[in-house]
Amino acid sequence: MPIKNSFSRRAVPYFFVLPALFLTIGILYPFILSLYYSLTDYRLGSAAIEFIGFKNYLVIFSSASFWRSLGLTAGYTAASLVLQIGLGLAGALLLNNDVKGIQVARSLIILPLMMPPVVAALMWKVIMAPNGVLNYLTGLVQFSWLGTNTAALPSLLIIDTWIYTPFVTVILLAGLRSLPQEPYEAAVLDGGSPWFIFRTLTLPLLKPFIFITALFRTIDSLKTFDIIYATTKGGPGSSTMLLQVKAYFESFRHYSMGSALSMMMVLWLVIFVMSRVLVGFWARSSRQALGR
Amino acid sequence: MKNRPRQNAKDTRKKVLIYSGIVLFLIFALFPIFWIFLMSLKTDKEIIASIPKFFFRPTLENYEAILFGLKAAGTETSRPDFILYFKNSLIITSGAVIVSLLVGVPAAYALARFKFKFKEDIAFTFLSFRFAPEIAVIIPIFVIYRSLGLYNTYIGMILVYQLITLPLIVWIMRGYFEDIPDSIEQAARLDGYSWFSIFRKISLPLVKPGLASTAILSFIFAWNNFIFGLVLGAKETFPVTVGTLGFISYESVLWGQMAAASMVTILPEIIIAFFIQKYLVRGLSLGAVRG
Amino acid sequence: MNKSFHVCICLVLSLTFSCGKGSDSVPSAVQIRTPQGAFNWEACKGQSLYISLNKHPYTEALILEIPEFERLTGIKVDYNILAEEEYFEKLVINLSTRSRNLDIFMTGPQLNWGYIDSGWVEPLDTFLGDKAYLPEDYGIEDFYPSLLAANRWNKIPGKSNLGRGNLWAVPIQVETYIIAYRKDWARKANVSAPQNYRDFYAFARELNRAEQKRGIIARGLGTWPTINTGFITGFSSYGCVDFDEDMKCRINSPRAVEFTRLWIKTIKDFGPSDWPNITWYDGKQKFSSGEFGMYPDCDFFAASYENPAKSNVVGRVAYALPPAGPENNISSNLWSWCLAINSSSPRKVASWLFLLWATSRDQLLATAIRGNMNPTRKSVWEDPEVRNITDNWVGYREVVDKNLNAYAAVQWTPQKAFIAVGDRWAKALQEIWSGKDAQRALDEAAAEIEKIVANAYKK
Repeated sequence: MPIKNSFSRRAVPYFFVLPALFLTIGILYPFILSLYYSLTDYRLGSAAIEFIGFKNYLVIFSSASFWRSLGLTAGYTAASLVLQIGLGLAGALLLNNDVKGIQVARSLIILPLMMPPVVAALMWKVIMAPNGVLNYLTGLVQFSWLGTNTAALPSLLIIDTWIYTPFVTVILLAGLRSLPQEPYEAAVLDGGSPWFIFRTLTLPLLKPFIFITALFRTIDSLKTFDIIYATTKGGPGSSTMLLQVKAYFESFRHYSMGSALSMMMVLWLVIFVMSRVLVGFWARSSRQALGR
Repeated sequence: MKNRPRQNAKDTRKKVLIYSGIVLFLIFALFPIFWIFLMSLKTDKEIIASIPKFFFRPTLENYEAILFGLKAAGTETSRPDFILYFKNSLIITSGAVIVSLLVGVPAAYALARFKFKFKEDIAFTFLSFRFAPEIAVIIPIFVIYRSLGLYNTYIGMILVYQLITLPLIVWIMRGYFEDIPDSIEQAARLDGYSWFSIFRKISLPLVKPGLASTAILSFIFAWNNFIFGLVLGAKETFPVTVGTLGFISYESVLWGQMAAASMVTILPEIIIAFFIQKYLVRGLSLGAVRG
Repeated sequence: MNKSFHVCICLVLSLTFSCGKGSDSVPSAVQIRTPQGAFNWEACKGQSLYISLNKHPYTEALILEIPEFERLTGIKVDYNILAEEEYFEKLVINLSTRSRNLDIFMTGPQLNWGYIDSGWVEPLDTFLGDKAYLPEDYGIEDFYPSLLAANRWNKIPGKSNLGRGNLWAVPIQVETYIIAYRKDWARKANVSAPQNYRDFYAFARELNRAEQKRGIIARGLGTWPTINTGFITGFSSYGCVDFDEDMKCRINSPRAVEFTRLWIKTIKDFGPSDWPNITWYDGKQKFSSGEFGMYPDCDFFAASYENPAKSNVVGRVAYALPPAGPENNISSNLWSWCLAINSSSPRKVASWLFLLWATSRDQLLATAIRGNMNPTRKSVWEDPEVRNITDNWVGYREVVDKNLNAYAAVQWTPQKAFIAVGDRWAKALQEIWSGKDAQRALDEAAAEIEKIVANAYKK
């Protein structure tokens, strides 16, 4: 039996990985640049840039509107996670049954994800208008979903959930369909209730996939921008001013690049930490699922 | 035997529940799209009417306008840039996904199968490319692209889209590769096959369903991206998402044309998803392998 | 962070960002006049121009004429068109990175202030002041003086500094702000257009009552355009200013609070329930669909109101001057689309040629006929073909004529942080609409605005 010599054996994984790493090393420069600018008073259009250390960070940390924005971002992400994973799981479980016509349903469910979020949000704006079809169907009269202080963020959540739940559904469905069948057949013969089977068999094996979808949804949710830009632009007042939207205003409209980038560095850090946490959960559930 | 009638009743009840659940889901998912489809068949006047119209005489003028650049009534002229943007999206998105697959799937395999130094760090690095808030990095990338001559090029766009597609492909495929039982590959190793041929001939075919859904998803995310196309491209390379927003003109929002454009935009995604859907059925056979 | 690392970064950055610095001075090699003294349109033959355009009837008309420019001058033109918001984002990126691939762009006086202060705009007086660079038949006196003045600024913040200093752009379109309302509803309710703001609320109420529909619609997004049209028009008629001579923010003066309360109350009681999301096009569409009684906004929207393909209210709209304030003064704000030259452009003479051509009488007439309203040259406004068009919009011409000639001017105080200030002001309006006390909201906004301006001018 030819046994590969130890060097090429150890080098093999790196060969597999290197091309991908190479491609994306380019993000390093923008990252370092952004980090540097966040430590300056850089304004778009000013010729002189002065290094001011952590002053930008001190300013935003003592600004109520920054904390409010961060809070909104965190709350929005948490709520969308709960909604989307919950609904996505329910959808995947439903679609995992081989009833007649299920193929059609499986193909159709992914449709909302195919709309570019900016376009979907614009269309939802029309649907959610005071004289739009949503009010028509729910019987509400002249209610402004996106224009009322307290309803704007929940309305955006509805749009977000509508667009992204299919993402969760597709991944969980593929996960469900890759699970081995015999344990189920055995459990059913033994007379286990559906809930019991789900809790002890399905869920543990599905957990890795759930955490992966949670991971990607968390990263994207924290960065939410498109939907808000297309509809409320952070309003009414600041009720939907999530962090990246706020940074957009600070940088592209008010030209305070240094300040905006400090906010984005904070966001980057939050995403980093949340991802580490979720990857940890994923790794543990993956080990458990694979019985290692 | 005596359980049969009760069993049948239970089965039917179960079926009814399942069907109603699915129908509810589909209504929620599809009604807005149905409404947008109706919008694409209405004139602008009908769209902005004060009471939502379910019944109207459909017209194809919006589709004509975006595909053939018919001059709309009034001062608005639609030029047929839409086809160009559509072509751009096709080229850029397919290119990005193909590159990510070629480069990311082997990486995912390595992360799933091998133990090597810095493995988890490298894996996390791949993931971290998706962390970058677009607002933070868009200007530096713009500057780099300008100086490297990548601005307004297909290659430039395919490269930057890797930020979207590569982390997705690497991490999700990693999960599917890990699902393959070691025993199968060990057996092949003992038979003397090299890592590369195991990867190609055994592992890859086994993850085809997962590969399919991951490819679809990354295609969709890349297709839907807006900001990179806007900033790093110009009219020669604008993707269809930027084009669709162009229907917000100075005169008015051409809702009808925007809706028609949205419908046309979804088309390639639907076609690709349909063909790849067939592979999801094969998921059953994968379970059977794990005997 | 140690010093050498800092120096390295600075080097890298300056290399990246200063590629493209250094604009050419007017090359003496270019013979803008023939030996006989005639204007030489082919002086820059063979060069290429990059033009950034906003999606606008002007643009749609201009691109049809560009082949003529290419024939006349031998200059090749490459243009990019984007919808308004995306256009400005891309423009700021291009200008701030000192791109050498942008020569001419569309802009407006208020937005230009930030660009001018950053040094991104080429001053045009070098060309205007040199007789050689001005064709004899250009006719600069044909432009409305207030429009040229609106585009002059000496970079010093303060109202008195508008109209002084360099000319930074040439206007190709102007809009003033009037009240467009449903004359059939007004007739039914037996009311006429308000002459004074004290009748404004009642007018909206009666329109509301007449048809059991909403009496007024106005822009409401939390961004500067919400202030720029009907709001600041009334604000100025009340004798209020955004900043006084010492650059103290005065949007919370007693008179200002009084007007803001009136404006918001009218909208809250008789306006759309999703007002904070209403954009200019939402307002225009909803008024055109027949849902609202009046829209105090751009005058030239009349083109849409009177277009059967786009409007349900053709022939039923009347146009009125903005009401007068307590001292019986009428004021209107204005906005003007203009063409400007990128200060980092390496092709300034060619750009100037394009500017001359595009703002010539013939070109402006051609675009006006194709829907670019209102023209910026008196002769074009008086032209029979243009008269023909505006006569179809009953009552339009008289109102706009008066407004343009007597009442309309840029009501904002020029300073470089215009967008930030306008956005913050609009946000305050939203807060008041949502229930916050007007005095408090405006006090907080004024304080923040002064900080914004102070920060912008630090150094």
